[in-house]
Amino acid sequence: MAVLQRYRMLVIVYVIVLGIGTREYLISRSGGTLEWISGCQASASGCSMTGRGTTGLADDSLFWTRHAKMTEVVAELNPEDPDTDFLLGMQALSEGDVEESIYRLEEALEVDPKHNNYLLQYYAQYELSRGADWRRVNRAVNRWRINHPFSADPLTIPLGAGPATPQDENEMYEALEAIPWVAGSQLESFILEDQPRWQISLVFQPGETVDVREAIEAVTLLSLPPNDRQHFRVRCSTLVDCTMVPR
Amino acid sequence: MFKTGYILSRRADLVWFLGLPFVAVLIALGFQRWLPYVAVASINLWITIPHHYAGWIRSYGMPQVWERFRERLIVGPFLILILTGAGLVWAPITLLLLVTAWDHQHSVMQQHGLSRVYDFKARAGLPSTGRFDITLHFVLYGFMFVHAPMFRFLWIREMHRMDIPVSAGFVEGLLIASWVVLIMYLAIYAWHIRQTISSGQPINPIKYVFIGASYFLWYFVAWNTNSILLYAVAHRIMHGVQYIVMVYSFMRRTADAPAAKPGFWSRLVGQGKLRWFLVGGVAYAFLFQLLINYPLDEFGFGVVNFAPYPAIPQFNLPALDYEASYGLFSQMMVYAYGMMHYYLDSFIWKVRDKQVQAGL
Repeated sequence: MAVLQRYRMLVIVYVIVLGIGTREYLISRSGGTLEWISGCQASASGCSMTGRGTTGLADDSLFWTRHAKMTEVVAELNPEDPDTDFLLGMQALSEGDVEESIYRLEEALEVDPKHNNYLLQYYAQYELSRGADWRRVNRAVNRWRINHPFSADPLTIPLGAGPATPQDENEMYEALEAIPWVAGSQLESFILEDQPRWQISLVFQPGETVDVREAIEAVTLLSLPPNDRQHFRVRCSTLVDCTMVPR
Repeated sequence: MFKTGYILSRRADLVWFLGLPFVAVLIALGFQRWLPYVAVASINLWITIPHHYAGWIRSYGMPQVWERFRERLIVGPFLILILTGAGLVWAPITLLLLVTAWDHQHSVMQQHGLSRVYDFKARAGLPSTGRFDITLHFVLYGFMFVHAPMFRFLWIREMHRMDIPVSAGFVEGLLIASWVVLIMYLAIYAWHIRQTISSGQPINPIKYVFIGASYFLWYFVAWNTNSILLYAVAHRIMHGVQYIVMVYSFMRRTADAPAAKPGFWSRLVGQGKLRWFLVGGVAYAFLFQLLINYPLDEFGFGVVNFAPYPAIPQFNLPALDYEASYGLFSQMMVYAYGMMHYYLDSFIWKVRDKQVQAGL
């Protein structure tokens, strides 16, 4: 009894953990709904609207379907909370309602929440993917990066066409690596509607201001004939308006 | 009826225990307005981690504490490590909930402990006042935890994640119940104060100012839903700074006692030694950050960045990512130690030196 008395705090902690933890273990092993943060909730890049990773999208849909009840309860009790708008936005996205989803995210962003990494990242990805004005994209990306500079989550840029040769690919990587805010890049390919697609996934250097046009310039390099790349480079005044200029 | 007593002194208490919560809220409001969210990590490094260091010194660095609690100080860490390891493998959500819940309980207990010190110093209250006080703390904190939108969001989410889908009706019922509990308990507490007075025992009003200031901070930030940043900064400043102040004051007063046993702690107290105690706290946070392989930039409040390796296109050098930077930093440390060795050997081994000759 003296031992129990001496260690009573740890005994209480162990009893609580054994009780709740056993339940968590049994439910998670029986395929129940307990899950660690995953999919859209863990990373906006995991549910980007560029069509990447169909498995991830299915998981996200399942996640939000399972948690629809939670969102409903939170929306009723905490209607003013930006995190509620974020949940409603993700819920709408899982149901395929992109317009409602973005409306909710923009509502959430109205009060300038800094804490929600997923919200800021997802909105930046959305602005990038929909090809919004470059100033809006830069603002959204920098808002995310300034508040969460050490987030290792990537943003993805859809490519019109993939590299035709390994040399193309290498030159694109080199051009991306020369950008101060790019810490790493990865070319990804996937099939969407029976068509091959490509996208470049970018991770960020902390403490650097992002200008997404620089990444567009780097990937647009592929549109130049290989022989011209030594003499010319691409300059983009917007995310779509790019011209070839001498080096 | 009233008898005042202070933990440190009238002026020091005004700064550290009565005024700090208000200043912490102002600082947090400034953080929310002007600094990015990463500043929360900076507060963690500058205050929360050093407050753990203060706790280590207090528990493992004082011989009298070590001798008294030796078994618990040895067995406790093992039991907690086993619990953490098992939790990570088999029940990670439970582990996360435990850490969160224990953190809340710990925060309440610190404020309760400090309010007990107020009564102790003023020789105020009845023998039962401690039990009434701790219940008051848990009722006030519990009310906030149930009601405040920020906390409400968290526990509703966690209950759903634990497959306990509470409905809006249930939550509303809980909110009404918590109002009933709060009002009833405040009436009971008022009755206890009346009992104290009618028993001829004094009441320390400073204790209630302290409790009021603490709960002002918690309630003010908990009802702010725009960002957890406000809560995280204000709470950590109050909790961490008050703890560090309390530990240092305790060690300083213990050092004055004739029966005090010297140890690592006693080297950190005394004239001009406070700065070394504080430097030790920051050095501990620095080592902690290196050990867990997190960026040192987190010290910089999102304003100062130490990433020193940008791309150098002229030399065709890409920027280093954090993993590569950490590798470079580790290697640099090895090289720096090596260079110290080369440097020392350049002057301590001169055979022409008479003192060296004597040792040969």
